[in-house]
Amino acid sequence: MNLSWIDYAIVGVYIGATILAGILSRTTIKGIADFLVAGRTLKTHMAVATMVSTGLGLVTVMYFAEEGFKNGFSPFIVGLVAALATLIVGRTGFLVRRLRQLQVMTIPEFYEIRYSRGVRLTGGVLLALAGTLNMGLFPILGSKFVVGFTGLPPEWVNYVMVAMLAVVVFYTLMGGMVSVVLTDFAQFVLLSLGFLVGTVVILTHPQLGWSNIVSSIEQHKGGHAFDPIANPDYGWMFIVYFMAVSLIAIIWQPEMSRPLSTESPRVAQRIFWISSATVTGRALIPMFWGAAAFAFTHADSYRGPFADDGQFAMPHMMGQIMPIGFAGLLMAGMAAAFMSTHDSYLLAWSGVIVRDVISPIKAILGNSEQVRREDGTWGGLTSKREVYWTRIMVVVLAAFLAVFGALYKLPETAFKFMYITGSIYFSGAVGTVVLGIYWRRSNTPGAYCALILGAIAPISFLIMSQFPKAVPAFLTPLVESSNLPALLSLILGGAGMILGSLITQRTHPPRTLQPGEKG
Amino acid sequence: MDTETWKLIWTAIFIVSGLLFYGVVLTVAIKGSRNVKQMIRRMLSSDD
Repeated sequence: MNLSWIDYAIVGVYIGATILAGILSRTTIKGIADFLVAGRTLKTHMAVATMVSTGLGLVTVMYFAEEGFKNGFSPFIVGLVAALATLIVGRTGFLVRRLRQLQVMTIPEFYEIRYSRGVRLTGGVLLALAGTLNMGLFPILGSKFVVGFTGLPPEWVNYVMVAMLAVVVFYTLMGGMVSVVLTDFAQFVLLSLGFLVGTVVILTHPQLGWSNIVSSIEQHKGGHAFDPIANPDYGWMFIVYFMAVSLIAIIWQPEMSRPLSTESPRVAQRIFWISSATVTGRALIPMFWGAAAFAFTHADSYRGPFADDGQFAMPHMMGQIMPIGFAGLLMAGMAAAFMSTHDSYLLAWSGVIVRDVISPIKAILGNSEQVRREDGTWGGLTSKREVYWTRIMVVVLAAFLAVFGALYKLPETAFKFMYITGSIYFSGAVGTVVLGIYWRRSNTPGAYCALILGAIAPISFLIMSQFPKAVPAFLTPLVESSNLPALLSLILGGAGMILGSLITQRTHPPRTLQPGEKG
Repeated sequence: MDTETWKLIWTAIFIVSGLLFYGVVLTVAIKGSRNVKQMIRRMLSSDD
């Protein structure tokens, strides 16, 4: 065991406070708008804190560290590209301002306003599939950090995962978005402190330090570990794709639920402007930790078992080098990072499954009118039933994640898995959301084409990469690296909307969004 | 670009991004704590 009782006490106090926040906030939930978007009351700084916390989960720390372990400093390009995209959104209000004006709670709800209930249902199914798969590795990666850091036996990884999920599920069930936002604020401060402590200890450690890490990476990996253009894991194709995805990544439901919870469209735009200053840092710091873990496990004096394990090496190193007290602080910070992402994702995907899949099916079966009611529902489930079913789905999803995380084998690094599963949804969203907002001729058939064509390439990649020997020779470029199917899916999604809409303009005249339309 | 230039670029970006990150953290932590107090007060009053 690497931690003392003082460290465990710090973690215990933090988890106790989180549970208390969940119990306190349960009284604020009166309907689905309170549960999913905190009654649209968030002010700027609170919203920035909760958005940064969501984007900086323990899984982010783990997969960025893995990238740093594997590719040295080259993945730093990811942080730069993401920051540039967030800056553009913050400056222009791209997508976010309009979506907040429309007062939607989920992205597929926009589909019902702009297209039809059927598009909402299709988009809801794809978003739920992409989101659940994307989140599939979150708990297991978080658990690996805890096990590696504390020095617990590796076979405990599944038990730790279930225990951590149970805490998150509890407070998310209690207060929905209100408890998520409240705990996110504490998590934001704590995980930032954990980042600072971890980085200072690495930089001042006699075996590590900036120059030792750079030398070790250069000696073992060569120039590709510094040059992202020459590095075969990145290159121009990845950079172009990642820039495009970063721009539309704001419509990723867990991210978007923050601006949708703000008190006005102006605040929704502003939080991107402010948080853009944090984007590069929150990517580079864990990547640097990963590069440090590589140097640590490849030093001559190292005799441990993690020299080739990009996922366990970083937490293992941290467990070895952190002094007592600081280790507890880092552990509490990382527990905060785990919870801040899981609560948001569980709530976001459960909300999508209930509001954009179950509720529309009920509305279609009941043949109810396609109009938004005062309580934010659309003729399917009532507001109270949506809250009830969202709570049930939070538990179901958490159980699924525990099983998936324990059984699934990664085709590439965790980071690549995240962005290829995200592509299932993002690619269709280029056509349905971006063109839906900025191109008047977007219509319902175009939206179906965009959603379905956009999802084909990434789903094919995920299936084919599990059975590489069965893939025909002409399709192998689609399996060798996720870069090509990811870029292809974006092109197919956009082209699907344009062609589908142009061909069917007469038979399916597009609906136009009125300024400030509420549906 | 050669490896030495990339090293310099990443060093500079690491320092600047770290400073920006903690600048925002500090500002948000101070200003956001007022929002948190309001929220907790509202929750406690609705509990009564």
